[in-house]
Amino acid sequence: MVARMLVCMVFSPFLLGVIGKTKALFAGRKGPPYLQLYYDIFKLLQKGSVYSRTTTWIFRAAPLVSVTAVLVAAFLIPLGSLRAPIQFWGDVILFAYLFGLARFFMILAALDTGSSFEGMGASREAAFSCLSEIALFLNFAVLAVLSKSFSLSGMIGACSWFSWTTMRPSLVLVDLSCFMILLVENSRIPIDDPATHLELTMIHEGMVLDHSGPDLAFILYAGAIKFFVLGGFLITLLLPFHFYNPAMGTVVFLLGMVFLAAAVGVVESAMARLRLNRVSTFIIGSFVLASFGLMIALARAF
Amino acid sequence: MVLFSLGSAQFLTAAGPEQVQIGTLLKPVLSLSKVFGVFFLVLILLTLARTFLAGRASQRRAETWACGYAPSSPRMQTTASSFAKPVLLFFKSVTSFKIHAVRSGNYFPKNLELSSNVTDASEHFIFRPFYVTLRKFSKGTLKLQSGTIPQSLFYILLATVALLIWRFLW
Repeated sequence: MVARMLVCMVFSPFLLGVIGKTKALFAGRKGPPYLQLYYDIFKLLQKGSVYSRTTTWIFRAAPLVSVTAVLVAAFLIPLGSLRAPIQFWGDVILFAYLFGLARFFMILAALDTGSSFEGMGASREAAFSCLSEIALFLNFAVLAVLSKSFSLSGMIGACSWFSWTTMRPSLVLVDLSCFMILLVENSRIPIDDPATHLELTMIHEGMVLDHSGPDLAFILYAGAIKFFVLGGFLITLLLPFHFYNPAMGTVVFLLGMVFLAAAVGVVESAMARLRLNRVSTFIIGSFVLASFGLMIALARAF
Repeated sequence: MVLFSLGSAQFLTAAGPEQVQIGTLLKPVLSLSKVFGVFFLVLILLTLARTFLAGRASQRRAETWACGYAPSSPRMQTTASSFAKPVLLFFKSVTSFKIHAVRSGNYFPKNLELSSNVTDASEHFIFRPFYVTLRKFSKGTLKLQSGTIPQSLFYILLATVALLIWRFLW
């Protein structure tokens, strides 16, 4: 358990470095080093912070709650061959709403500052996440039908070579849909540009304009862990290897995660940002993929 | 909502707690309290780390940082309708969400007027037609209820005859 938390906590900022490096490769630049986010977080942790006069304790609590929520979500999913320490019937709901809790506190903190840009970012984030939540739960429904289980470990654990040979169409659809949700939830490029400097177009970045110092470090770290957890969910589905040796399984899993990060980097380099009113169409796309997956799975199951 | 989704999940997977015992019932509570234990443990550890870091570096208070920040008044805050707007725009075809804007002057408007309204689809398309029909129907039955005693006796006779016919035919 300690080992898997260490893997998650230490390795997650590295993946964002991989994304940055891939984008730089496509643009023909040298790019920031792989460990850039570690440097950023370390630098921010040592800095002082500035708080707005309008803010209350909610503004200070939000980064802590959001890191805590994503870390606890990491306890619930199996990462490669590392089993989840906490698993019970129905933990998918807890898993989805831990991310909801983190987001809720970030939205409250954004409103706490009273800035118009942060309020706008918060309202966009709320709208898009409310659409992507439906798609996420549809994916869970497909996996529940396929695996006849309603806990994350059962759903993902039931995926083996056997399910890939018999359930291929719906699993492919679920994987595609999960990849789209991963982009939405982590506010990556077709949805939101993490590197944007224009407040009017910001979604997620708009909400954290007023955080500084260690608070911002916590937020960046929470983002990295969120990417790791959701990506780990996808990779464990895609690579259904069950190694008897956990160290070997972890290495394969981490390699898969690096490939996933590179894939996100490729998508970011190849695509432009969608217009804000098109974003919901993108999310509906993932919803439609998941619902076709559910149809196929139900047709096979009954 | 959660109970509903758990129930439908049980239906979908056809796999749930097989036999209901106290242990089976308490198991989710136990796992949930484990999760909450972990949650608060991590939260307390992080808060301690945060306090330690805050003690080492400077902290100051300033105005909200945002480009062109003007102190907000209750008339310009982010409200519930700000949060509803993106979702309403998305479901425009169902909710018939309309925004009316009136502005005078070209680039520097002197007066601005903005209002929005939403038709409650469930009320407008389902409940209202249903209750309108119901009311029409009850207006018709009202005629039966008012009247003289001989009329009521006649209704009773009619009902009895109808029942007798129904009894002997089927």
